[in-house]
Amino acid sequence: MPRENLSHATQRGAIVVVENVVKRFGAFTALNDVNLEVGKGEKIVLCGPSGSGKSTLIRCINHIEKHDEDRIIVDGVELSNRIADINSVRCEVGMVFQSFNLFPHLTVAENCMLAPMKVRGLSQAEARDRALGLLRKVRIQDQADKYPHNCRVVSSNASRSRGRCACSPRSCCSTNRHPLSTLRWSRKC
Amino acid sequence: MNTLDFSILAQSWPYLWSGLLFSLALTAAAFAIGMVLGTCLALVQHFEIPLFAQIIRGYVAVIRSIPLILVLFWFFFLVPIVLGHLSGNGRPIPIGATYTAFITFGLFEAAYYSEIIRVGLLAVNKGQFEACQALALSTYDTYRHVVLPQVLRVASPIILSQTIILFQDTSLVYVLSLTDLLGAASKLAQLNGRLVEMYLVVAVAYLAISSAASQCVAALRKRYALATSR
Repeated sequence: MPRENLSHATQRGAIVVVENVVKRFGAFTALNDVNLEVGKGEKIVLCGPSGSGKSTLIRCINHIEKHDEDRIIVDGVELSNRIADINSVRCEVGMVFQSFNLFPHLTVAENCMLAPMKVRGLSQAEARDRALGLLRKVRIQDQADKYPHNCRVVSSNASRSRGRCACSPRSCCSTNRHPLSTLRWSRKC
Repeated sequence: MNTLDFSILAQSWPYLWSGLLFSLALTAAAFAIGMVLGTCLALVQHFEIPLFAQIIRGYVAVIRSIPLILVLFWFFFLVPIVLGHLSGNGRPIPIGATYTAFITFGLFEAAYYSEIIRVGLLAVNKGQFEACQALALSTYDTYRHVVLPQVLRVASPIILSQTIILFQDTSLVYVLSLTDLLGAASKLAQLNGRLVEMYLVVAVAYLAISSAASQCVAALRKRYALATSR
């Protein structure tokens, strides 16, 4: 998109720009004229009661939900109906789901390797090196070849690693629903 | 009083063995054709492709409503006539009993497998699809590497159960004068007069194979029950 057409916020270096966004589910309006700017390197927390639209907003940023009005710009790319735009945003946005949504038939390492191999074209060896590096950062590298249901550590770390692994090294942001869930540990036999 | 005499089995084994091999070959071919075609049919219904989804639903409903033996008769007698009309000269084009059996069994099982896989697709957690979207995986990669492997793993006990039924159904090829395990035993029984012995041996063979497969079904069920429990 030509630089002069980007919103002023983007021109100021904001990574995520939400401008007057509206999202409706039938007659119910989940997001009503929402505005948000997230700067580079900035970490923000969205707080609100249940049903206030926090998850809907996060899902709109990743285009898992399609916003109805106005625009969302992520790292200079405006989310539209163009698949190329949507995928270019998703390649740079990591997402951790509330229920983690790990792939149960793949090991933890394979969960982290799938997207880099299929989306970014990395070789299996490169993808595995990258996956193990990220798992080492969250201290679950010893769980790499286990399946999610066999892991002794709660799946949020694995889910976060998968989300980060899918992004490019310069990925702009990651969204994490219910970050306090990472404080829970569960013991598996 | 007649006593059982199994000594006749010594010279009957080769013919029974050839019949068993035919049954197993037909089962394997029908399984392969049924699974590939059934997966395609299930995906078309899953994606709700206009017109094709309705046609496939109708096909599955018809096939699952009529006995296999009737489908075998239809294919053997009607398809040559239809092909003859389509070719223009009106003369029936024979397909042959063996091709009829393999094609008919494959098409028949495809309807059943497609229903198993279609329900399996519906049972996959919506979060799996969202995770694939969030990772920018293509539709092909989503189904090839994430969704279908999960469907096939979870549905494998049901698919194997259906395959056991398929193996037992191969005995129906006698209507096409083909010789499977039961057909071989019938012919030997008529030849040597030892009906009870022949049918007992065949029953034991079916029991052994089906029981072994059922044990695999139970093992698969237990494995995936453990895998999905947290």
